[in-house]
Amino acid sequence: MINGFSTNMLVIAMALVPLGPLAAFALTAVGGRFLTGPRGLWLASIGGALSLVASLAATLLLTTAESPGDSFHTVVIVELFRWLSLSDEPSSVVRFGLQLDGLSGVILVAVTAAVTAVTVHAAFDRRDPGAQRSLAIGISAMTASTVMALLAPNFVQFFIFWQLAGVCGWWLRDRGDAPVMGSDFLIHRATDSFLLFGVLLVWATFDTSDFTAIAGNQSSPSPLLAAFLEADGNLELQTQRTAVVATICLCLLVGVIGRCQQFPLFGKLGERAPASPAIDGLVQAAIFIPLGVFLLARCRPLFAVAVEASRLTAMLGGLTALLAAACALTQRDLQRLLRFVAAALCGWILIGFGSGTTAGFLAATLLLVVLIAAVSSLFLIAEQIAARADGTTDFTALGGLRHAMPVPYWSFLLAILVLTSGLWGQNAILSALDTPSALAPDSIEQPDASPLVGALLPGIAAASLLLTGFALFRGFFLTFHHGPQRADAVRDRPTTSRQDDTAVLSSGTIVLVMAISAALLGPAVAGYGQQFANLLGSDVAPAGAAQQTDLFFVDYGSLLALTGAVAAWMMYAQRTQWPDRVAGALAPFVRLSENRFYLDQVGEVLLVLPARGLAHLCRFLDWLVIERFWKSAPARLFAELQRAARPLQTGLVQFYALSLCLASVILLAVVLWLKG
Amino acid sequence: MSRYWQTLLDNLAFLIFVMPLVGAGLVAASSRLGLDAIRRTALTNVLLTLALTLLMVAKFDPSRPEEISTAGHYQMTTSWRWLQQEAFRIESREVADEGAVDVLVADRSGPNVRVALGVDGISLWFIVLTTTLMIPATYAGWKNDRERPALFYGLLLILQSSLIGVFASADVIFFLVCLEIASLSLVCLIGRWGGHGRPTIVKRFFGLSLATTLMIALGLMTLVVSHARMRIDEAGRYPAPTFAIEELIYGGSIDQSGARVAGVGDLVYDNEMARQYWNAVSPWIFLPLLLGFAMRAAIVPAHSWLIATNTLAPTSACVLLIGATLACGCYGMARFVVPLFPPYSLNVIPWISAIGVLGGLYAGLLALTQTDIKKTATLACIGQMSLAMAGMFSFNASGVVGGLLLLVSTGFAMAAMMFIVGALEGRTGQAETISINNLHQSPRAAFCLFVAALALVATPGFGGFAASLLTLRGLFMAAPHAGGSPLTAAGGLLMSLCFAWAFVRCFQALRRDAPSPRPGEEASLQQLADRHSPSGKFPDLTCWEIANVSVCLGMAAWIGICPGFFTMRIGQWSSEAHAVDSAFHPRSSDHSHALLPTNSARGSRLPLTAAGKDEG
Repeated sequence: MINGFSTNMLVIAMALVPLGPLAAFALTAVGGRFLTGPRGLWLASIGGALSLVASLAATLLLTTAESPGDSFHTVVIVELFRWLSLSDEPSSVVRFGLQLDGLSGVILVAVTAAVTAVTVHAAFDRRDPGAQRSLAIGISAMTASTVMALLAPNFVQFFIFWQLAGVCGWWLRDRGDAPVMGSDFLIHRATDSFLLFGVLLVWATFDTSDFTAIAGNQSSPSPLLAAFLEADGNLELQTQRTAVVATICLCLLVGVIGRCQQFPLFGKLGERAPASPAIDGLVQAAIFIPLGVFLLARCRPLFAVAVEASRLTAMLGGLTALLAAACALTQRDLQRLLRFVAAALCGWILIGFGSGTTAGFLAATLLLVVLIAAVSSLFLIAEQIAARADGTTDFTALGGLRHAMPVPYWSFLLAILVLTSGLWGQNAILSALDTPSALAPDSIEQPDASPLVGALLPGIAAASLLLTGFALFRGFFLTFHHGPQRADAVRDRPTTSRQDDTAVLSSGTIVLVMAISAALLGPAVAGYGQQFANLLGSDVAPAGAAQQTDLFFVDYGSLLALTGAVAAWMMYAQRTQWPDRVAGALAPFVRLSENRFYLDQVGEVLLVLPARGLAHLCRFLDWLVIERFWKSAPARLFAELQRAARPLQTGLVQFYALSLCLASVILLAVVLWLKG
Repeated sequence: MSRYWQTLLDNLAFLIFVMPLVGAGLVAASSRLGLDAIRRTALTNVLLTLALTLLMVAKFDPSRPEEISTAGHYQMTTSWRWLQQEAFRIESREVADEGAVDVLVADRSGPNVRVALGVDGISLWFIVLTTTLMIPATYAGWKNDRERPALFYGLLLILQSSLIGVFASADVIFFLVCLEIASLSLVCLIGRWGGHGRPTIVKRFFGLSLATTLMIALGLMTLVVSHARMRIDEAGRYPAPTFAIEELIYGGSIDQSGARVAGVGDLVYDNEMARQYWNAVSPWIFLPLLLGFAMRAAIVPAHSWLIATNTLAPTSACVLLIGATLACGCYGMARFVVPLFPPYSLNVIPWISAIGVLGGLYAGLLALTQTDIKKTATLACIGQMSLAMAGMFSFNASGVVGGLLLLVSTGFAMAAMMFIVGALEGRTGQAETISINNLHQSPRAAFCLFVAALALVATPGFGGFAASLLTLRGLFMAAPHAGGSPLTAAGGLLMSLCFAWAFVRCFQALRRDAPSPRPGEEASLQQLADRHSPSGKFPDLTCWEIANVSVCLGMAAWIGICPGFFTMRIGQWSSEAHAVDSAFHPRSSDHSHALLPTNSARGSRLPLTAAGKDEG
C-alpha cells in the first residue's frame, strides 16, 4: 500500500517523465529562430534531465512504499484519456495512460540518463550549428515517444509510441545516406507489421490489450490468461489456445528482432553509418534495444506459456550474439564495431529471456541497463574521437591516441571492461540456460529440452563472449595503442577547447557514473539479490541460481572474455605482424565476416527480388489485361450494340410502328406484373 | 435562443448544400470585377461553408440513436416535395378499444420524390471532408484560373455542392442527381483545364461515370420497386413507392396518423412472402449497386480510369476527385449495400473482404513499379479504398467504423499529397521522379511530402493508423461467414508495407542528385530553378502553400490523436453494430452462429436499426 501523499507525488513524477521532453519538443518546434543553434539542444537537455529526475523519483517512491514486501509488486496506473472508443464496452475502448512498475522504472532511468548525456554532448558540438535545432526536435520527440512506450499500460499505446520512436529515430539518423535508411525504414516497417498483427491477435483473443489484464505481473500469469489456457479442461482446446499464445509471442518476437536488429537482420549494421556516432548509438543502444527488450520482459508470462517461442528467442539471441560478434571482428570502423557489439549484447539479453528462468530474466535486465550505459558512453567516446580526428572513426587510420586523449582512453577501457567481464549478466545467463521454466503453469506440458537448447546454446554463447571480448579490445588497442598515425595530428589540433573537454566530462561522466554504479552495485544487489528481483516484480530468485552466481568470480564466461582480451593484446599491442598472418590463415572466415555472412544477399534473393518480380508481373498484367479491357471493352460494346440495331433501321414506317406497338405491349405487361 | 437561430440550426444540412450554389452565383456575378474579386468571393464562400460545417459538427448529437424511433434517422433535416403532390383528408377508422376514430390521412399523387437533406453518423465526416478540402482546392486553382476564372470557380463550387448533396441526401433520386452532377462538374473541370491528351481521358471518365450512375440507378430503382412490392397489403393494394432512403432501409418515422412505412429489414423479418420475394430479387439489387459503387471507388480491377484521370486533372480537381469524390463509392456501399445485405444473405458476400484486400495488395505491388509520385499516391489511395471496403464488409462495428474513418482520413492525407505534388508539378511540368531531383534542397516541400506520405501509410499520430487499426481488428474478428479472417488482416498489413516501400523508392529518387542533362533531354528541377531564379535557389513551397497543406494534415492528425471524437459521432453505426459485433464474435456464448441465419433479416437490420424501433 502506498499512502495518499506518496501516491500524489508518484503520479506527479510519472506525469513529469514524458512532460519534460514533450515540452522541450513543443517549445523547440514552435520556437523558430529563437531556439536555433545550441539553445534548442540545451532545452532538450533540460527536458531530458527533468525526465531523468522524475523517473528516478517515481522509481524510488515506488520502492520506498509503506510495506516493502508488497510495494515491489505495486503497479501504478494513471488513466489519461480515452483514445478510441466504439461503445461503452470495455473491449472496444483503448485508453491512454501511464503504468509504472519496477521494470519500467529501471529501464526509464537508464534510458533518460543516456538521452540526457547525449543531448548535453550534442549541445557542445559546434561542428554543424545549422542542424542543431532539428536534432533537438528529433531527440525530444524520440525521448517523449520512448518514455510513453515504456509507461504504456496496454499493447496499443505501446505500439503507437514504439512506431513514433522508430520514425523519430529514422529521421534523426537520416542524414545523407538515403538508401541505407530507406532499407532500415522498410525492415522496421515489415517487422512492425508482425508486431501489429500480434497486437491485433492479443486484442481479438482477450478482448483487451491491457498488459496487466493479459500478462499479469512478472511473478505469475494473469487470471485472464490462466482461464483462457485452462479452457474448461478441454485438452484439444487447450492445445489450440496454447498455439494462439505461441503465435502471439512469435509475432511480438519478430517485431523485437527487427527493432533490435537481431539475426538475420543485423547485416545493415555493417553498412556506412548514416549518422554521427553519438546519435547512432543513442538510437540503437538507448532507444531501440531497450524498447524491444522491454516488450519481451513485459510479455514474460506469455512467453512462459509458449515454451517453444521462448526457446526460439534464446536461439535467435545466441545466433546474433555469435554472428554479430564474428562480424565485429573484421570491422575497421569504430562506430560499426560498436553497432555490432551492441547487437551481440542484445542477443545475450534475448538468451536470458529465452532461458525462461527468473535468474535469466534478472540477469538479462541487468545486462540491458549496463548495455544502455556502457554502449552509449562508448559511442560518445567514438564521437569525441571523430570530432578530434577530422570526422573519421576508422581505427586503421587512427592509432596511438592514448596520450593525446587520456580521458576517452580510460573511459573506453572502463566501459569495455564492464561489458566483457561477464560479471553483469552474461555469467548468470550462461548458468541459467539449463534451468527449466519456473513460470509455466502446471497445465502446460513442458517439452523436453532439445539438444540445440541443451548443449549448443551454451557453447554458442560462450564462443560469442570470447569473440566480443576480442573484438572490443581489438578496437581499443588499434585506436589507442597501435601505431602513431593520428596521434600527432590530434595532439597538435588547435581547437582542443574547454567546451570539448566539458562535453566529454559532463555527458560521458553521467553515463559512465551510471555504468560504474551499476557495475559496482550489480553483483551486490542486482541480478542475484532479493532487492533487484523484487524491484522487477519477480519472485525471489531460485536458491540454485543464487548459489551458482555466488561463484561468479571464477565463472568460465569471464575467463573466456579475458582470453579474448589477452589475445587482442597479444595481436594488436605486442605482435603486430600476427593479424595479417591470422587473416591469411582464416581467409574464408574473414570473407564471410566481412560480408556479414551474406545475410543481406540471402534476404535480397528470398524476399526483395521475388517481390519486385511480382510487382513487375502485376504491372504487365495491368497493361495487358485490365488497361486494354477498359480501353477497348466499352467501345466494342457500343459497336456491337450498333451492329445489332442496324437491321432494325430499315426506314420503313410500318416497321417502326410495329416496334412501337411491341414496346407498348411489353411495357403494359411489366406494369400489370408489378401490380400483381 | 431565437427562433431564427433555431431555424438556421435545424436546416444546417440544407444551408451547407446551398451555400456553394449561392457562391457559384456570386462568382458569376462578380466576373466583371476582375480575377481578385472572383478569387476572394470563392474563397469567402468556401470559408463560410466550412464555418457552417463546423457549426453542424458542434450541433450534431451523437446520442441520437436512442431517440431514433420517434425523431427519425437523420438530424438537421430539410425536406421539400419535388415530384409529388400531397393532400390531407380526415378518415374515420375503426380502432379495437375506442371504436371509430378520425384519422388524418395523406393522399399522395405522383412519384414520392423529395429534395431531402440530413446528416447522420455516416455522412457527417464526409461533409466535413468535402468542405475542408475546398480550401486547398480553391487555392490550388490560383494557378489555373487565368482562363475563364468565373467558370472555373463556379464549377468548383457546384462540384462542392453536389458532393455535399451526395453525402447529405435522404432521397434516392436526389442522391442520383447529385452524383451525376458531381461527375459532370469534374468532367468539365478536367476537360477545360486538364493536361495534354485530356480529350480521350475525359471521354473515358464521362463514359465510366455515366455507366456507374446507370448501374447504381438500376439497383436503387429495383430496390424502390421491390420495397413497394413487398408492402402490398392483404387486399392486394399496391402502395405508392417511396424514394426516401430512411424509409427504404431503416423504416420511416411514425407520422401523425400513427402509421409507419416499414423498411426492407422489417418487411423481410415480419413477412414470409416478402422474405421469399427479397431472396429472389436481392441479387439484382446487390450486383448493380456493388459494381457501380466499386467502380466509382476505383476498386481493382476498375482502377485504371482513376490513374489516368488523376494524372491529367488540374490540382483543384485532383484534390476533390481523390479526396472526396472517390469516397462517394465507398460511402454508397456503407449507405446502401452493407445494411441491406447481411453476410449470409448472398454467397458472394464473404468473399468481398478478401477481394478488397487482394485488390489493395495488387495496387501496392503496382505502386512498387511506378516512377511517378502522383501515380504512386493514387495507387496508395486505391489501396486504402480497398481496405476500407474490406472493413465494411466484415460486418462488425470495428470494421465498419474503421472503414468509414479510413475513407475520411485518407481523403485528408491524399488531398495534402496531391496539393504538394501539384505544387511541384507546377514548377517542373511533370510529376515523374526522374525530373524532380535534389528535393532535400527544398526542405519545406520535402518535409511536407514526407509527413503526407507518413499519413498515407498509416503511421501512428495520423488518422490512417487509428482507422486501419479498427479496420484490421474488424477483419480479424469477423465471423467465418462474414468477410474477414486473420489472413485478410495480414493481407492488409502486407499492402501497407508495399506502399511504404513504394514511397521510400520515390523519396530516394527525389533526393538523388540531378543527372547531367544529355543533349535534348528535359531539364531537371534544379536546372529549371537555376534557369528561372536569379539567385539559383530551389523553388520551395510558399507559406500559403504550407498553410493549405497544414489544414489537411492537421485534420488527419486530429483524427489520429483523438479518434474517439470521430468514432463516437459515427455512433449510429457503432452502438448498434456492436450488438452485431458481439453476435458474430466466435467467443460470445449467448449468440451462436447457427441462430443467425434463422434471424437473417433481424441481423441485416441490426447495424442500422436502433433499439426500440420495432415497437413502431
